[in-house]
This record gives sequence, structure tokens and C-alpha cells, in this order.
Amino acid sequence: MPPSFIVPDVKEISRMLTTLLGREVRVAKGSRIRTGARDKYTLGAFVAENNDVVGICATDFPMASYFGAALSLFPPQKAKKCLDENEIEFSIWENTLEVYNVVSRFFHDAHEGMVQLGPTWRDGDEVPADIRKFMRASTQRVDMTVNIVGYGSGSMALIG
Amino acid sequence: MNILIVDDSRTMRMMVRRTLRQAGLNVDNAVEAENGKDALDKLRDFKPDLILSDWNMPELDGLALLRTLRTHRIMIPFGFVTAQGSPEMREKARLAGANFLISKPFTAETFAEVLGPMIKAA
Repeated sequence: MPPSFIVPDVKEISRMLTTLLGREVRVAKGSRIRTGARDKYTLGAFVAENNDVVGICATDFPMASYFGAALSLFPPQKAKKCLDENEIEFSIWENTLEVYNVVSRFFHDAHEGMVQLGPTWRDGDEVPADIRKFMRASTQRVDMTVNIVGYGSGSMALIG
Repeated sequence: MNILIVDDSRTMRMMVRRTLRQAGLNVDNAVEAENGKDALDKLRDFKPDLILSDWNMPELDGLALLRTLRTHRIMIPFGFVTAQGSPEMREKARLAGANFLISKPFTAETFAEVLGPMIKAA
């Protein structure tokens, strides 16, 4: 039987994000990400081959914007514009999804077969009750403050 | 050397191109496809020396693309560049005929190490 989700060390997450984005990314444990009805956040769910959700990556609105901009080397102002306009534009969002896709690697060891990025939710999308329950019930999680140097800081959680 | 880059993320295709340059690899021509089906279409006119493909893609994924090529005896060297990197998935890739698997996130050093010998040999 495979092990259950092993919460990765923040140093490992920092290394992975720094390699992916090609710039320094500082990661520290932070307070629990806010995913209430009035909070702005985005989610990527990771699914096993039987389509069961086995993990979630949650990012607050600034984090999702900064991830999306930094991956494509868009100027930081493009992310700030999303924050000012309160909406993540598509070119940023599709990059945020690619960051989620790569983050799936933290869930591979805990499950047999393929684990891949499944459904995703932008801020404003209705998150299904089973996903909300998964996030509430999980005790295997790491909540972080992530600073992409040159872009900005936000909150992120890996929940398994 | 001519390379076909297959990935549903436009940004990731751009990053693969950039990393090939950063790795100092001598690529004459790189053509992009956004999934396996698109890759098969591109292969009608473009004859690459190497295919670099993502695994998870809509329409036709990377593994199905590789299996389709090998079934038709098209033996172009094929490598995955993917978020999948577990030993189980590496073995699945190898059995299907992949020459290598590079895990995302990747670096120029990894590209140079894995692709360098293939590109010099071409």
C-alpha cells in the first residue's frame, strides 16, 4: 500500500519553485489560507487514475497572479494589474495552471499510478461541497507564505 | 538538429525553447504542437530528429502519441518533459519506447546532460 501524502518541507518547495520560475522564491510556513465564501482564492485539484481527488493546491489571489506572471516572465506590473482590476486575466491564469501541474509532483509518491492536475477553480467559481470538505477535513497540509522575488508575496497551501 | 516540441501549455513550449538555448544546444529548427493529435498532423510535413513531449495533454496524450509512433514503426527519438517523474511512470515511458524522461521543473544543466549527447550525435 502506498504511503499517505507526506507534507513536503518548505525548503523542498522553495527549491522546486525557484527552479520552475528561474528566480529566487522564498517559502516559509504561514497561517492557514483563507478559503471562506468571501475570500478570493484559486484551487487546483489533483486526481488519481480513478479520478478520486488525492490532493489540492490552494493559492490566494495575489499568489495566483504572481505565479502566472513570473512563469512567463511577464513584468510584475501585469500581475499588479490583475490585483487592481480584481480579476486574473487568461494569459496569467493558464500559467498558474501550469504551476499547479508541476506542483502535482508532491503527490506522486503517495499514490500508485498517475496523479495529475484535474479540475481547477478560479476566484468566483463555485467550489463543490466535496472539495470544501476535503480541505476542511485534511490534517496533512502545509500552509505557506511564498515570496517570488521581484514580484510579490502571497499564500499557498498543499493539502493531501 | 530539428526538434518537435509537444505541450499543451504555450508557456511551457516557450520555456523548452529557452532552455534549449540556455543549454547551448544546437537546434536548427523547432516546431511546436499543442497535443499528440496536433503532433501527428505536424509530422506529415516536418521530420524532426527528436520529439520532446509533455505527458498529460488533451485530445491525445504523450504516451498515446509515443505508442502511435512506435506502432507505425516511426522510431524518431522521443523524450518526455513532464511533471510525471515517479519510478512507475518512468518505467511505463521506457516500456513504451521513450528514450528519456525529464521531470518538470527542468534546468539548462539537465537539458545539456540528457540531450547534449543526442544532439551531438545527430
